[in-house]
Amino acid sequence: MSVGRGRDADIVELFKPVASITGLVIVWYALVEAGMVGGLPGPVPVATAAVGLIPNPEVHASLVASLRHIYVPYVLAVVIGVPLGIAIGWNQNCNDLVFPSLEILRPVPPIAWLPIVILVFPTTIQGIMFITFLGAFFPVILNTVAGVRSIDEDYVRAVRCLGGSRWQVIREVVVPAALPSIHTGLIVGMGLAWINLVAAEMIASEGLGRFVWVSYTSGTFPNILFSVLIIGALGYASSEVVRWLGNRKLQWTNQTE
Amino acid sequence: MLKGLSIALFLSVWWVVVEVGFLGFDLLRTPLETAVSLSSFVLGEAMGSGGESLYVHGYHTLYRVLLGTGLAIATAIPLGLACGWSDWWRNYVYPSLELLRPIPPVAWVPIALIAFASEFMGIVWVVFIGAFFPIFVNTMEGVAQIEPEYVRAVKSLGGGRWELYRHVVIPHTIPSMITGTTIGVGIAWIAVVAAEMLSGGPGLGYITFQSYRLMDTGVVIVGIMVLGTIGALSSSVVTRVGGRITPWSDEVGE
Amino acid sequence: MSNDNQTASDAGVRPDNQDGSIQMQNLTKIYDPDGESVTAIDEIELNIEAGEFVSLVGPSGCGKSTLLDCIAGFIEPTYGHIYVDGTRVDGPGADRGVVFQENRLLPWKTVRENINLGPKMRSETIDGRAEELLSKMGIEGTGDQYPTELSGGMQQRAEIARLLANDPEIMLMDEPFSALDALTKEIMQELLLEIWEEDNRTVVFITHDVEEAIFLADRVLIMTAGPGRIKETIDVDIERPRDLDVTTTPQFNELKEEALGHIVEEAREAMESGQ
Repeated sequence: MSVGRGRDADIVELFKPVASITGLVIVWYALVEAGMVGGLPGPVPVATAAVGLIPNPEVHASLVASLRHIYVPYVLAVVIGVPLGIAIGWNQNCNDLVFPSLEILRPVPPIAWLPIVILVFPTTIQGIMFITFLGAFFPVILNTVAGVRSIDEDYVRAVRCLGGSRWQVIREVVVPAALPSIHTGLIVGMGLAWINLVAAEMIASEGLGRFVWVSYTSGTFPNILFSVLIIGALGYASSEVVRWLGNRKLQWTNQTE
Repeated sequence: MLKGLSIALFLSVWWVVVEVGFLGFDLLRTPLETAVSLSSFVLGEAMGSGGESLYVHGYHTLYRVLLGTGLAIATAIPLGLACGWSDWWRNYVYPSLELLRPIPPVAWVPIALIAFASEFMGIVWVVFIGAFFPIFVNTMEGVAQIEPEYVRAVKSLGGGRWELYRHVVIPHTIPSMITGTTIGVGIAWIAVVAAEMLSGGPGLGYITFQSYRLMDTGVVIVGIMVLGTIGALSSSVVTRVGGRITPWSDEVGE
Repeated sequence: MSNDNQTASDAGVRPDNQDGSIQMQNLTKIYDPDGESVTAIDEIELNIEAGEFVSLVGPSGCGKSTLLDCIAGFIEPTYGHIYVDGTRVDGPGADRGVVFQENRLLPWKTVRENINLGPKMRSETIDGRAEELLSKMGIEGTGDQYPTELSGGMQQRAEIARLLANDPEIMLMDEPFSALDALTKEIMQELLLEIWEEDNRTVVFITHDVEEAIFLADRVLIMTAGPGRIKETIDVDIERPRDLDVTTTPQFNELKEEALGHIVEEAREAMESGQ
């Protein structure tokens, strides 16, 4: 295959998503022009607004606030959720003692706790962070538990008959074997942390979510769409970071038979 | 034994933090007070100032979730199958959906309120978005995992395009669709609660947040409990129905 | 060794010069999953001498694996005891290494890391030992690969290398070659004998392949179909070292006939009693 043909093929591959997204923008434009989406602004006013918003310090401050609201609780959720999940998955007594309580709290949509956490925590920001924490915590802990429970008993036996102690079994078998499942939990957890964070910010606090909601109540509609796109991009980037970090650690799962 | 202890421990911690007033917990109600107000609401007493009962709020929220999730199932499954199976759809439709996917459903609230000029449709749209993407992505991944041997088997038995869909693609993907629906329903509940808190009622999310504003914390806790209960029920319904539809699969079910 | 708190004298079993003898007394394992008890192995009395190679054959479900799991210490017998060199078994230990039917190399570790695992867990370093074992097992150069990158036969070689690195007195092998193709299986059998003849570890080898059992072992034990007992012992007095040519000798065929006769009888009885 010549270099030239390879490059042509690359261009064709690139053309497809570009065509797809151009199509989406055209549909958006047409819907706005046809008056089918109420007062929603079309692509041109949104692009104009974007030019004005990119250097806007208020946007920067909101962005930094949102990032802080997500990473602190996310790291906490991982630091607490993974060890607790391993303990619950590995030890029946630990499971019986902790899991039923968690199961009571789990089905409640994290955002529904908002009124309570605002009342209970000294500051609203801490409350918001707790909501974000809950969003990430349950996927992380549940996937960790599931990962530990699905470990093939024979791996444990293999390490035991090489003379491994209880702790060595946990270190050499339980943790690495559960890692792919934990990784899934981390990715899902990041997604749910974002969903709940944006909701909580819109309702009660500072950050990008708040910026969206204020743009709505003040009637500057083009700003809404721009900031929603920023939120989407940040959410995407955070999940990709988690995915990438995990894949580096999980090289052994990429091998095929 | 320990399980009972776990629940007892949970209730006592609740009780103690309210009685002692740890952080702002003194503003909340004890388990006993909550049980009393829960039972009066279950008997139909009006929740808060609006005068609607638990059942009216519950009905509105449930209706939005069912409608939004139903629409999501009806569109996400065909789209997921198409994008998973056909190159054209994957090349030209999927990238646009991928672009929209990372936008959290609740961020759509103002957009939906502007576009639909109807609070009801706005909330349903947000629920729809919440449920759509997990179902879509899982369906598509389910199609991608079909082993070519099954396709070859049906083709060599003389099956055409339609038979392939009917006997391989769709049945093989059902467990993934159910997984996606389980996740989708969970996110639909988050979306509906947040949307109702933002845009108004009646509805369980609305009354929970409204009662917080009026410092009626009894209603707040009951609202959260009811949301948790219906949330748990709806996910168990999906799992059960899923298990019924796919008796051959051990991916879904209890 | 994991259990050195109990001495041979209070266990009432004679001590042995060479390590790796196994004594089973009244060994019984009853499973009771949902109120319906199933006797997997029933009052087994068996002595295996240090350095002996013993094969266990029998119809599937006869409790071969249960017996092996008891010796390994993975499961506790319901009644009776197992002694290794006079010390009672009460859990898995580095003195008894297990080769599993499907290899249980840890997939998240490279082959070399797997081989070094046992010594590493005792904080011992075995520089170069891994390479030595790899070449001994005929899989030089695979140390940096992950187990899933190897073929089935190579995986079993690596798993045996992992055991040898740990230097156990007893090797417990649970149908280790049954998932391999016929040719690979024969090569592995010869390799196993070569290794065994070097240092004469005690081997308990489970198989359902009668030829394999006779070719490898000093003694073939035939088990009854559930509840598992030792039905028959066949001493294999074929000279060592052996190679696969012995499988065509009349002596070998006679032993095979004898063993097969017992197994067929056992299988027929089992079928008639509706198991």
